[in-house]
Amino acid sequence: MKRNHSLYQSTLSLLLKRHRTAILMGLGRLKKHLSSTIFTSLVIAMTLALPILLLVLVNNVDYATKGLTASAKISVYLKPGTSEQTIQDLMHELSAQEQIIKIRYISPEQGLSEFAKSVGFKQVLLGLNHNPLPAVLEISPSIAYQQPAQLQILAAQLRQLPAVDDVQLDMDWIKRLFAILSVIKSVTLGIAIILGFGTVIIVGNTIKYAIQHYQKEIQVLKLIGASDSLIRRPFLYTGVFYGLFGTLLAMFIVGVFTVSLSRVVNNLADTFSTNFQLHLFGFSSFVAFCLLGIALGLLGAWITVSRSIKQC
Amino acid sequence: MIEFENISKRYENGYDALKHVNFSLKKGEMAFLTGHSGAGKSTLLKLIALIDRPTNGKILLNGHNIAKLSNRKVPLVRRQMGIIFQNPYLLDDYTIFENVAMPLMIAGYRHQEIGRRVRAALAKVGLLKKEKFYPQSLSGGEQQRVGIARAVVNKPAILLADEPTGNLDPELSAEIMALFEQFNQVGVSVLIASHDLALITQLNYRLLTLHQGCMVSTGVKIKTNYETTVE
Ligand SMILES: Nc1ncnc2c1ncn2[C@@H]1O[C@H](COP(=O)(O)OP(=O)(O)O)[C@@H](O)[C@H]1O
Ligand SMILES: [Mg+2]
Repeated sequence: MKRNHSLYQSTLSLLLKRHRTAILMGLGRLKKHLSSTIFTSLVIAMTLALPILLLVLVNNVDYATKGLTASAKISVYLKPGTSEQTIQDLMHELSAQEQIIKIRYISPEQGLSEFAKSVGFKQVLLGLNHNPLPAVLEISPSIAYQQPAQLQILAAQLRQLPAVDDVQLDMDWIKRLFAILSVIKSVTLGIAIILGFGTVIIVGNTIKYAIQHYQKEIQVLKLIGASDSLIRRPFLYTGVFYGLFGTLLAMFIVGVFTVSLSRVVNNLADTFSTNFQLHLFGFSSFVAFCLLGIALGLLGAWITVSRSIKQC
Repeated sequence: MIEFENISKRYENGYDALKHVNFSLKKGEMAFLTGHSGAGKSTLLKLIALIDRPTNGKILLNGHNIAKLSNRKVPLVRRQMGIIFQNPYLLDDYTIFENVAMPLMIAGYRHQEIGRRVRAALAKVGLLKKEKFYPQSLSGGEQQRVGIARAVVNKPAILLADEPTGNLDPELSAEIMALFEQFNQVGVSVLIASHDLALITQLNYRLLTLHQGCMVSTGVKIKTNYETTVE
C-alpha cells in the first residue's frame, strides 16, 4: 500500500519521469509499426497540405496587389500653350506633396517620339505639320496612397489645378483586378477553412485507425492495473508526433510546390511589368502551422483513446 | 483476505449469475472455485478483480469494501492482484521480457529492478532462455507460463486464475498447477476457477462449488456421486 500512496505525490521528478516513459513508449510504438507510422503521417500531410497551400496563395494575393498598385500612374495632361515656367513651378509644387513620390515631365516633342516609337507610324506622324500632343506630367503616387479610392481623390485634386486640362487615371482595370482578387481571396479562404474542418475529422479518424492496433494492449494494460491517464499518455504523444510529422511533411510539399510554381508566376509578373515573387510562409506561420498540427494530433488521439479505454 | 458477503450479480439482460454468495479466502490460502459451465465462476473472479461490479452485497479486501470503489482507484486494487485467464492475453508486438515487465513499468520501477524481477519471474516458470522471443513462437503451455510470470512479477498478495489450464493437455496442466502451489507456499493467496475436476481433486485444497449462481459448498471436497450429476 505504501508504494501506491507515493504514486499520488505528484512531485516534479515523478511527473517528468512519467512523461519521459510516455514519450519513449509513444515513440517505441511508432517505431514498431513503422510502415503504419509513415502511412499515417503521409495521410495527415496530404490533408494538411491543401489548406496550407491555399493560405499561402491567399497571402500571395495580398503581396500581389501591393506589387500591382505600385505600378499605378496618373497622367496629367496640361493645357496647350502652358509656359515652361508654369510647368516648372507646378512640378515643384506637386513634388512637395506627400501623396506623390515621383514626377516625370514628358514634353510634347518627347511624347511624339515615344508614341512614334511604340506605335510605329513614324513616317505618318513626322508628316504632320504640327505636334498634336499636349505636355504631360506622369505622376507616381507614393506607396501609402495606392488604394483605388485614394488614387481617385488625388486625381480629382489634380484636375482642379488651373494649368491642367485633363487627368487620366487608369483606374478601371485596377478596380476590376481588385474586385476579382478579393473574390478569389474570399473563396480561397472559405475553401481553406472548410478543408481545415475536414482535416480535424480526417486526422482524428486516421489516428483512430492507427490506434486500433492497440485495443488489445489497452485491455491488457487495464487488467494489470494501469490507470487511464497512464494508458492515455503515450497515445497522446503518438498523436502529437503524427500531427508534427504530418505538418512538417505538408509544409515540405507546399514548399516544393511553391518553388516549382514561382517560375511560372515570375513570367506572369513580367507581363504586368512588376517584379512580383511568390512568398512561402514566414517563421511565425511555420510555428503556427506546427502548433496547429500538434493540436490536431492531440485532439484526435485524445478522443480516440478515451473511447477505447471506456470500451475495455 | 477476500470475503464475499451476500453478493449477487444480475447482468443487464436480467440474468442472475450469482445469488447471495458468501465465502471467504484466508491470507495465504489456496482454493479451487468449481462448478458446471455457466455456474458463475468467471463472474465471481471478475467481481474480485473489479472488471465487473456486484448488484448487491459487500466484497471485503483486507477488510475494505471494494464493491463500490471509485473507478479511479481500481488500478490500485489491480496492482495487488495477479490475474490469469485461459487465454493469457500476451501482446504479440512485445518480447516475452517486455510482456512480463509491463506491470513493473506501470508501477514505475527502476530499470535495473525491472530486469532483476522479470528474470526472477521467468526463471520460476522455466522460461528464462526465451526472454527475447515473441509470444507467437511459443507453445500454448509456454504462453500460459508467460502469463503467470506477468501475474506474479509484481509480487501480488493474491493470484486469481480463470481456467488457466483450459487449453492444455493433462501433463502441462499438472505443471501449471504445481507452479501455483509453489507461489502459495511462499505466502500468496491463490483462487483458481476450474471445471476440470479430474485435475483438481488430485490436489488437496478447499473447493468452493457454485451451482447455477449459488455457492453450494465452501468446505471440503464434494462427493464423487455429486460430481457426476454436476458434469
Ligand atoms: N456480460 C454478460 N451478460 C449477460 N450474461 C452473462 C454475461 N457474462 C456471463 N453471463 C452469463 O452468466 C452466467 C455465468 O457465466 P460465467 O460466470 O462466465 O460462468 P462460468 O465461468 O462458470 O462458466 C452464464 O449463464 C452466462 O451466460
Ligand atoms: Mg468461465
